Amino acid sequence: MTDTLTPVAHGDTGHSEEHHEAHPTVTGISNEKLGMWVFLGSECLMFGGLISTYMLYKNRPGSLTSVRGREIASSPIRPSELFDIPFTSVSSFILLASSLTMVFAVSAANRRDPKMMRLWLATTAVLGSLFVGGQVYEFTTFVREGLGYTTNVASSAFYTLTGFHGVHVSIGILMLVSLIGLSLKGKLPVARAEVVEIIGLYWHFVDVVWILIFTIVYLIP
Amino acid sequence: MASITHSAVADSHDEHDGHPTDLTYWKVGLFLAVLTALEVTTYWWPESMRKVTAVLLIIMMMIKFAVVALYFMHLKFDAKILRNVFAAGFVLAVGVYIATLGSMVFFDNSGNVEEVYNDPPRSKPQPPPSPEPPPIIKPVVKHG
Repeated sequence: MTDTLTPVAHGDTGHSEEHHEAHPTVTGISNEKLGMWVFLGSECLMFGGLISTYMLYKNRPGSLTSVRGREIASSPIRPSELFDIPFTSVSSFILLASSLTMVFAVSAANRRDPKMMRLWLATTAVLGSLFVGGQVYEFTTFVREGLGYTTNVASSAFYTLTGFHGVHVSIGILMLVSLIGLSLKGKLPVARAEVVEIIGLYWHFVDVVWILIFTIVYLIP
Repeated sequence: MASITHSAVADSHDEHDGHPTDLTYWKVGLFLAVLTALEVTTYWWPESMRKVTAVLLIIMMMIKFAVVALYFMHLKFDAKILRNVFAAGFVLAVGVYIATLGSMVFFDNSGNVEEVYNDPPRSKPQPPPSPEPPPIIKPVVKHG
């Protein structure tokens, strides 16, 4: 075992640890971590807006018009009529499980166990990919049923909300894979173990947002 | 260079930096899974329990949200300022959007969406055309 979250113990690793030594802050919290929390706080506002928009339009599909007022599309079909709750429930369980594997990755990073950290990070990424795959399947099914992005206002609100969440999950997967890559290349010293925790915060936030979406959009009748 | 021994790893399983142990995480994960399963079962509950179902779902959602934020995101164990930053954003978001939804007659949704939420007409309604043209009134010219 070394002082890096990597399998290789090169001489320059210790140097890079010194280089990345965290500077003390007034709050006692690193700037990166505080920055992530502020970012997550602002994300609450964005997702709040998208959820509110969906709630406003879910029962009044209406029609979409162009800038000149010409009707582009109009269909009475609502997203809620096409929901497959058992399928979405499985997706929710998968995302919830990914949050659990993420805390184990952070826990492994804190106790300087790079192998377990990479294993849990990879598991989290796989679970996240399964969730995104499920969302792609769901969207494909909806489009085949005749509910496209521009079918009506309700469908636009639904796809924007769930699509934005899916993009967040995808970005999270990219960050997890990057962490694994950095660890394998020896660029993740112990001093930077907090990076795993910060990315973990982002991942848990994505899970928390899905907890809201799953209940408000899918389950509440 | 720091090194990790087996005893160090074993110790870290118990408690580190006030963070919960792996066993606690498993328990929290199990609790969340049970709560999610309970949420899913409401899908098959009778239609007559609609309002109760909605209230229960919101309560369970709030519990899940709080548990993930407090335990998985370590808000319970981290510095108080982080809790305040996140809570400020969340409370602001909830407040703003409840006010917005309220102003958009969200709370009047009684279920009769077709009557209450008709889309506004896209063109100004015109009066029906009259069958006969209106009589032409000639101005009366007084000759002095």
